[in-house]
Amino acid sequence: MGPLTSILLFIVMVLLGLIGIQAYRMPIIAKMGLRNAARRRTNAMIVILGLMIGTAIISGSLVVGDTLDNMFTKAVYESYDETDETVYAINLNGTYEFIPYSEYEALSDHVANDPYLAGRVEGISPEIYHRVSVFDVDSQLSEPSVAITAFDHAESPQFGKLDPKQGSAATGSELAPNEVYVNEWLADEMDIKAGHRLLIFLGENQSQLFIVKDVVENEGRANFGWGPGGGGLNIVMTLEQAQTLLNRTGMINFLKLTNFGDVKEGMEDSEAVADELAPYLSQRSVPLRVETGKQDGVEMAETGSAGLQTLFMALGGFSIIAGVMLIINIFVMLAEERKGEMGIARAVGMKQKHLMYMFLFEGTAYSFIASLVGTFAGLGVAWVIILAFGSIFGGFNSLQFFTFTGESLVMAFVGGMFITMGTIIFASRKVSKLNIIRAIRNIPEPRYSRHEITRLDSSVSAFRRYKTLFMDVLQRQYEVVMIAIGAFLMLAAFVDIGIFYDKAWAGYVGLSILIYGIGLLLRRYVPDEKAFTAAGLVVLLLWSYPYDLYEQVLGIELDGIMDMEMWFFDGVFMVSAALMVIMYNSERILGGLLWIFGRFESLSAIFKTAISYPMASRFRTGMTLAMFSLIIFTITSLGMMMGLINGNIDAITEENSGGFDMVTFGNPAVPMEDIEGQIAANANLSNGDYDNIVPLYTAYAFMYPVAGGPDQQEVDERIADNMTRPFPGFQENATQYNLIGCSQRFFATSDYQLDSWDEAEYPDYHDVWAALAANASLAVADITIQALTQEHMGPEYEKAFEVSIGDYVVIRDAANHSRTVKIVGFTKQMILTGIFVRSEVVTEPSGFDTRTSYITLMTFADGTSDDRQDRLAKELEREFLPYGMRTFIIKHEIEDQLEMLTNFFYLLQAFLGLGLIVGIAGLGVITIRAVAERRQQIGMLRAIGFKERMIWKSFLIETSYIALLGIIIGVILGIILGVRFWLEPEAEFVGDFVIPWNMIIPVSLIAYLFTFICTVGPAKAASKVPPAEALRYVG
Amino acid sequence: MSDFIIDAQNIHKTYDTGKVQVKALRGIELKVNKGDMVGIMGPSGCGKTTMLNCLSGLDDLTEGQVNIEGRPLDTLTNDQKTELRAQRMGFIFQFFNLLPVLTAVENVELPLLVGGVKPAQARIQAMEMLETVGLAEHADHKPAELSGGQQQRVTIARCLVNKPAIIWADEPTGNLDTKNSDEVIDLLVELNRKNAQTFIVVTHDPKVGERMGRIVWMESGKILDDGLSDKSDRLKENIETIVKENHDGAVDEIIS
Repeated sequence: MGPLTSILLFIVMVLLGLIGIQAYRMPIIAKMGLRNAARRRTNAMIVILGLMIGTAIISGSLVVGDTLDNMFTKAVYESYDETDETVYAINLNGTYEFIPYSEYEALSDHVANDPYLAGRVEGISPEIYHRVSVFDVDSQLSEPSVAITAFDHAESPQFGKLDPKQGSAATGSELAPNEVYVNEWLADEMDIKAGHRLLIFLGENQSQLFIVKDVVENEGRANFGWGPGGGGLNIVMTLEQAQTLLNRTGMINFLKLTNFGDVKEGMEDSEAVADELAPYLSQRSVPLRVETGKQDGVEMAETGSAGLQTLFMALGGFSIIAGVMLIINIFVMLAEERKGEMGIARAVGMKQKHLMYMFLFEGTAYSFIASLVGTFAGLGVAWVIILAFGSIFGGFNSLQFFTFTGESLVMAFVGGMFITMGTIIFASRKVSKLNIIRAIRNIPEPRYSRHEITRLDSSVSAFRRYKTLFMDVLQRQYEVVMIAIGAFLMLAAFVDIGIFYDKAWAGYVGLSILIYGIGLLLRRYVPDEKAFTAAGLVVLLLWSYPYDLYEQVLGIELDGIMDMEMWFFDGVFMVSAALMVIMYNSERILGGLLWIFGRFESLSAIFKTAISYPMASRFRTGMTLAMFSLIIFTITSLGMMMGLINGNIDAITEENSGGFDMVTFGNPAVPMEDIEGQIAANANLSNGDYDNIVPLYTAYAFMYPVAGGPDQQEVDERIADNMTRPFPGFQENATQYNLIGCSQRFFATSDYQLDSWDEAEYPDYHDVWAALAANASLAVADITIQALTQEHMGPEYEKAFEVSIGDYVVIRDAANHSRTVKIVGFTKQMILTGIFVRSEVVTEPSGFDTRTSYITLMTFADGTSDDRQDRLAKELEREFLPYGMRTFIIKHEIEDQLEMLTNFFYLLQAFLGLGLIVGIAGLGVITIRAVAERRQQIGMLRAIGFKERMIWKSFLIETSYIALLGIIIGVILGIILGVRFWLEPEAEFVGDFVIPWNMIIPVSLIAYLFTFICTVGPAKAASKVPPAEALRYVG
Repeated sequence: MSDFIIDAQNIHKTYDTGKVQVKALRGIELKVNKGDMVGIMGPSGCGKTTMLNCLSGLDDLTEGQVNIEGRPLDTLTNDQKTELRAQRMGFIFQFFNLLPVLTAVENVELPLLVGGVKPAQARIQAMEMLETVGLAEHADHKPAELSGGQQQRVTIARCLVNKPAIIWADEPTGNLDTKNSDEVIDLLVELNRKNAQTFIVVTHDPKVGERMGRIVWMESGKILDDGLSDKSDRLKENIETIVKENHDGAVDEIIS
């Protein structure tokens, strides 16, 4: 169990223990509290439901995290299986370099002779891992990128056997020379069955026919490459077969190492083994690298699932707040209902603390049951989310990964108890404060306006005096406390005092609390209405004003304005400020509504009663409105984000396409020379279908950044040092990355926008590309390099190099081709990852001496329809299957990605729907209570001429008024936030401002409809109250 | 057709609680002329309020018939009864039953709005009525900001604003002190005299009974004595009993 869980569990246990002791000491109070809980079953159920939501959300989020963790890590574990480290070299064309088999033998000797390694490494497997394209003669389906994974089981029994669909475990040795296995991923993809004939392409006019002996399970040796999306479509054969097929007798290109222990235990030694091996490997004639892919993959998976877990938890935060408000509301209503009897209880000698304990005992019972039920209800919530997750991301059966840990359930229970107990203690304190006479006679409580600090004389103990002072400051001078907290947070944001420095949320939250504090302080001098309206308006303005304008006008710039927590505070403060303004100007709103609806004679009486009630119960109405507004605000702002992103589709396409429609990737091992000539020579293809075809040349070279600086001589020295260092030493610190050679045609016809560039030197981004076309020592890097250097991308990416504009990159390979280029800009596009340079840097002997061309940019002829574009892309894939060509129509790819993102947003919105349920349930409860409270008044209304339908209409208008007002506030504030996103340069929304009414209207209508359904019952019940009976009813 | 504004014939009301049957009214016969001011008195639980509810159509009868201005209530639908109440009746309750969220004037204008009077016109009439009961200055006060007597006067204003033919008052002074009680009853008597409206007043208070033109004495769901225009000996005896119970003696002063 983690430390946080343990601490929370301990605190909750202590709290429960203390409450238990108090219950033992005050048995009659405990009895009263518990009997109250049992007195009104419906109320109790609703309270438990409200309390349950928070726990269910925590539990759901944690279980989603567990499941995603399982889903992501399982893929890694299944793919790597026994393999803990991999050893290989990548050549300039980006494929695995073939090395002599003797390298395996040498490595085995090295490991055996190194006691450190010998005690950790259990076995080594010499293999060939090579990408080819495949055609199934029987199913007539093809696949451009399939991995041949070839091994010698006799040499590496530690890595396990194969599991064919028919027959028993296999080792590969039973394969005839023309037989192969295929894994299930590939069999499903190409509809392959045992006995099918597979044509494996090795290049132009080079192919060989194999018979599929059987389909093997996706596990162990037959599942390398992280599933179908990650390249785990495997053809399995023996090492000897692969060597013969690829004409690489006596060669291998991949070594797998397995450590002692099972799949997970072995991984623990990965880093140590890799560190020990690296120096040896880098000294080989072909310098080799060692990767800890399994460990990195697992860490990345855990980072990813933890991120999603946080996202769900943060979103759930809004619903939890709504749940907390519902609980407070219910407790206040329970207290109002029992006000008379509480007053009598006080009159006969019970103290305020007894009343508080009475509520506390009752609340603890609710809390315990709710947390317990909520923890398990969360499993259901997570189940639904995971189900939806599977259908959004690839339509796979995600439920097979559904899992949860005991710790998650304990954490959810404890977290739930923490929230509910906290709320109940707060609510109990609030409701237990009452004046006996006012309670008995049901007279409204006056405004609390004492500000003075109690002065206790010196006979009172010091502890008591300090306790009283502390409580007095908290309760009677809370305005001052708020001002102090607000000022502190602001100070921390702007001055480095070691906490919250430069954090946008601290600045904004601090200022907001400060303003609220001042507003409360103002109440001592001006009426509440004016003080709260002023404070609310200022805070609303603060959070509605575009961040960027603060930067421009005030020169204030804080970090993290687009962070998740800012969104959370956005919701809390915008909604609270808006409600403050509305609730303290209710008379005006009421007047306005009556002015409008009062004109309809039949409605004026109904409206007058319907709207007066909620406006009179300010606290209760405010809480309910807050529940609605907060959730609708969150759903709307998510929708706004979605709308803005979708509105950006053309801009994103433009950024990523560079003016091209399609990008094709081939197999680097089978580079294609002269694609235009190939198209012209192919009877099924025509160059007329394309306006522009631009092949790019690539080299997968080692790169090392050298930061630019004022002292050019020092920079030059460092560059020279890296250009001349022995390659193995250079390689160890360098990153292997794509070098993309761009032809003059590319420079002449492409239009890739730049995210940033050396603006002092080049006024416009076109000037940067023009400079690149003219100067082979300049380079532009893709934007992902910047993202890759950020820690949150996971351990795999932390190794990527950090480079800025003005820096130099030393590029080298083992054959001692070397070059230094200066980075002058970053592209906005993310499809082509690499450093863009003039093509000769890659192709000429003085450069990297490679003509590998497997990336081609293409533009369709003017007026080619979407359908035809798809057809042409498929034709290219089919005709150039031997080259392993895969085509991507840029706009379609972006649309697909955005659709996935949109669906994910829908999932998040559905998750937020939980909060909406809280709000709706809250209104239902309020209506039920209102009917009971106003029974006598209903009788009177019926007596003076209100017909039955007028009574229920009045109730429905009342609840509709609250629900609609909440919805309208939420929608407006969500749109305001959307405007702010749109205007925020950091968010880079360049499309038109869009309000997604097609989402907002249905969600609002559904929310309202459910509210209507929930309240129509109690409203009808109210109208059916017989007037004579109602008039007789007292209290 | 009956000439009486209220004509109740053999009315019975039985409450069936499932376990027991409570016979609240047992064959009540009552005829009231237009402009009468009738006090209904009797010990607690004798059925006074039940009779008022049944006569006004707030509650249904188990047996018998009530005609209001010649219209038999049992032939009216719920909505028709409501309309009849809205147009021809007014109610005053012991606990005032004002809507706490509305101001005095808003409470008073409510029956007019229900009856379809334009809001502006309703406001004028409500203010006039508040003036009649002496509360024009408190028009914008909410009930919680008024004293008990003031609240009851608002109730009376609300009751009379529609100019109803019949006013039903259930213990109108039950929640008031002597001074306020006197003021309220003075007001009712004056309104009866001025507007010739019919008042049916359920009361425990002999001083209120004293001011009624006619007292109906009830016991165990039956009318034991109907004083019509003068007070019978038996009635005097009954009042005496109540006064003894409630006022420790000052009988002569009250019934003289």
